[in-house]
Amino acid sequence: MTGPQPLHERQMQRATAWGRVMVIGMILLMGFQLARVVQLKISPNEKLAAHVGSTMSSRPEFAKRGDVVDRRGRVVATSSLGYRLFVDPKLVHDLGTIAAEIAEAIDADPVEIDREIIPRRDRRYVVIRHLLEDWQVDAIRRANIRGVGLQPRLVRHYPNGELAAGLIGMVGFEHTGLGGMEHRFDQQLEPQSGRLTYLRDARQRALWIEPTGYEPGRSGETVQLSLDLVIQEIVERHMQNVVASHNAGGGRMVVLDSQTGEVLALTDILNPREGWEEQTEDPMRERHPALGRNRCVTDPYEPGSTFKPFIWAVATELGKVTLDERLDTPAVGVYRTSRGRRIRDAFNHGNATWHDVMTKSLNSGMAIVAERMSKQQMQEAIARFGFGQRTNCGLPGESPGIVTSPRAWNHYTQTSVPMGHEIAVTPMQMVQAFAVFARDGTLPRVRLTALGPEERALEVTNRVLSEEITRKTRRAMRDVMTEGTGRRAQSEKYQLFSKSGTAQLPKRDGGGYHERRYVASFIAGAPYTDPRIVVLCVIDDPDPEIGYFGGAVAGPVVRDVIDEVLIYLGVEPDQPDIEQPMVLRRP
Amino acid sequence: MLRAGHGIILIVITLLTFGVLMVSSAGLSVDPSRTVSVADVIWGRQAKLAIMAVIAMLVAMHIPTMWFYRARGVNSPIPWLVVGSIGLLLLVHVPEIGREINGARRWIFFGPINFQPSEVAKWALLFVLAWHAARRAGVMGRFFTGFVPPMIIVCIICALIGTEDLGTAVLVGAVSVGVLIAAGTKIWQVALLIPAGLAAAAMAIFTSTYRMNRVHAFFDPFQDPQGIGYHVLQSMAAVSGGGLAGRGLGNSVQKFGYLPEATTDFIYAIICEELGVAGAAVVICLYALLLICGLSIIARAVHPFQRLLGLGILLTIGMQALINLAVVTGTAPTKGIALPLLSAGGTGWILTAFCLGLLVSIDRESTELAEERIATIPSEDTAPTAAETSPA
Repeated sequence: MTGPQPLHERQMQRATAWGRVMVIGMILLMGFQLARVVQLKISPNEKLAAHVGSTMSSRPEFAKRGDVVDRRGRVVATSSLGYRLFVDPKLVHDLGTIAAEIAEAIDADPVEIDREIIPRRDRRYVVIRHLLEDWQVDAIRRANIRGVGLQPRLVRHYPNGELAAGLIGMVGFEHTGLGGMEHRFDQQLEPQSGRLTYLRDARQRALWIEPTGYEPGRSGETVQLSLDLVIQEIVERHMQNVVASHNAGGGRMVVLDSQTGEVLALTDILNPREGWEEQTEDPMRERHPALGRNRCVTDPYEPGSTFKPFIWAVATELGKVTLDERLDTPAVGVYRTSRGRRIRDAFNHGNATWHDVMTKSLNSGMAIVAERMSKQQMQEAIARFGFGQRTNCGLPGESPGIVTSPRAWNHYTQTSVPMGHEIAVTPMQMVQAFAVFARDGTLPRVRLTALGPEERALEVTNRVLSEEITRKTRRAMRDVMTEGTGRRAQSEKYQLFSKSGTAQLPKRDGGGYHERRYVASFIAGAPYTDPRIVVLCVIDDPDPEIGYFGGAVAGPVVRDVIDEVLIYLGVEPDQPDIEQPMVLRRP
Repeated sequence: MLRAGHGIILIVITLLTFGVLMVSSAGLSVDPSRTVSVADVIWGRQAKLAIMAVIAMLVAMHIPTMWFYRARGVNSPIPWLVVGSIGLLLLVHVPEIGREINGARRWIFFGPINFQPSEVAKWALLFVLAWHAARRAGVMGRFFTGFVPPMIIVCIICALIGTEDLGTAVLVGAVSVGVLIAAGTKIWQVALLIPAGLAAAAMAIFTSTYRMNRVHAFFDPFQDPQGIGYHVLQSMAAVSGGGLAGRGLGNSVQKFGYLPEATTDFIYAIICEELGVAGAAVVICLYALLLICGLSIIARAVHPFQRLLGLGILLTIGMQALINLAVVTGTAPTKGIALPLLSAGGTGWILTAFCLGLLVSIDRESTELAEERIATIPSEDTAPTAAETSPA
């Protein structure tokens, strides 16, 4: 190779010089690109992350809402996984044929489906069916139609239909409790949905899961109610019958386990009748039976004579009267109090003993003793049984009842309350208070959930009456069944202790009482020898042409329910006649 | 002694090895039927292409570069390179031979062999320009005799490339102008062409919807993030992903369907995502070292043809890398320009390695010549003394 000529020498120098400039320029620009990389790494554009979107996906893992079971573990409410059918119109190839394709798969009316989709064609989520049957889910999966999706959802089942529907309540669209026990125990029942968070590729396929990417779901807790479905069925059957047979406006019944305070059954029936004024209404119940208010805790009523045992017992305990003391009850006509108030008995019984006042349900006798008590003693007597206070059993909308305030308390109140007038109580308050006579004089705490053995041992009770007075009152109420107003409710199997009540129905505007419209009630405990249950029946506004006395209308229902329930519970009959039938027939 | 040529060989092998690794990583799939093992990486298509590229480089480094300059008549390869390049570029439009891929006719298929003629033309033009500039060194400063003739060829080739691949046409045009300036063309002569060049580029852009979209996407990628802005946004997301340290080799997320062309034009985004700033810096340092070694070689080259050819090779590789990096980082509109020796490719790798082999050859020739010169200088032992040469 020969050496370069001068011309070439100049060209080479120029090439080298320009080469240096260009190479240095390129290296500098590459350095700038590296700086840009660092900038993108350290502080990327905020909009970048938003527009690019996340590469993480998360999928909920459905957890089951807790079951509701009765005291014997029978399922009252349970949940399962179902599927909702939806369409994303934006992904659908041909909106003109999609309805026909879906209809063919799920055997539905294509026109109906078309009506769902076409008006909402601009949306991304159009629900076609809220719940598909299993074969429809399979058919949709097989059809694999673009733009049609299945969305898993929880479905609540109530295997017993409308049995205890008002007490159990229901869940709403979001699977949360709307009423009754579903609402009361929503927190315990509510499941904790799990979540699987994973990195995905552009085609939504999972790439990998971080160790922290999986949060397992937790099913809701099972809630065991104190309710017994068999007893509930007995109660509802009898109450439906009596409300229908007496053409009553409604009926309420509570069955309480007197030893534990557990509510074994509870029902509230409304019977709208044509041509009757001021009937009890419940618009929510008309929408759904499970959404109505539970009148056993929300609607107080005047207890009438069923209230007498409470004042009778306290007056006895206070020594205001003895059981065999004869009182100046009128043989005929009315009794006039010291302030001249006229008190009328349903059936006159002159010079009755204090025991007779209970068995014959004498208003006059109650008024006589009530005048011996101070106002404070009377108010304290009411309060110690829990009247005027909520039982806090857990049902929504509970009323404390209506008790006249000490300031408004007058002579009229003092003589009315012992007869169960000028006071209003809820059925739940009534069974709670009455359970005192079925126990050893202590007031139980009513509850709607089953008690475990440990909870029973730890149960704190509130003594209301001495054991002796409790026994005396219970005995007097047993005699009500044989000598007094409860004779028509006498059971052949069990000895009951009870009290009937008949109160006039107050007008809705508070202006006095309806003529010949009543609330008939009957409360009883059984068996007398070893009380297990307390049953209250309240018949609202029975047709007076058919019957309205508590002992006649509600008494037989209570008896029938007690008979069936105690047999179901395996409680031995305690009627002497039953125990020794052969002896009685012996010549 | 380690020379700049050796440095280039090492850098080429490093880049190719790194390319095989990163292309394999970026090509990973979640499809269980397409599992990838270490053997697949070592004996895979990219590894074979890399070996072929190294072989091409080794062959080229033994080719005497001055042969391209000195051969005359029909033996001269220069006219054949011009005719061959133009012919190949025209062949893409021949049915059955030329094939449209991704909406552009850039490929020709001869049986099992397929390549982009623009790749061949890109390198061939360098020989033509260097040959012309060295031969017409005396008139390179003149407009009509020095500048216009090579520019006619450049324009024809750029026009043929630009109809299907504007990015490569711009690259070829820019490199050609660079070589011509270095060869003696006056700046004002180039400036005269700027309006015409801009007009041609503008026409190419405005007459093509997808080019317009790319320009729009460059200025406001957020305008249509799922449409025209998708490429650039996903690329920037990949660069930004993983933080300074990166997600780790093989752990890119964007390669799983988010970033299109992850193994080819956007391989640098995957490198940034997986290997972080360190990986990004290593790549840039390798290119910078390559340019510095190349500069060192051309500075020692003994003939203007070699210098201009070497400079053309450096400019092509450097500018191609620069454009690719700018596209990946969102500082230039999207173009179909690969990252030299890193992006997955067949003809690209082989031709680039071949040309760098020629650069090594220039280095070898320069060194040999220098050694020859040193050998011809008389040593002190053999040189006549003053007493011997001067008269008494």
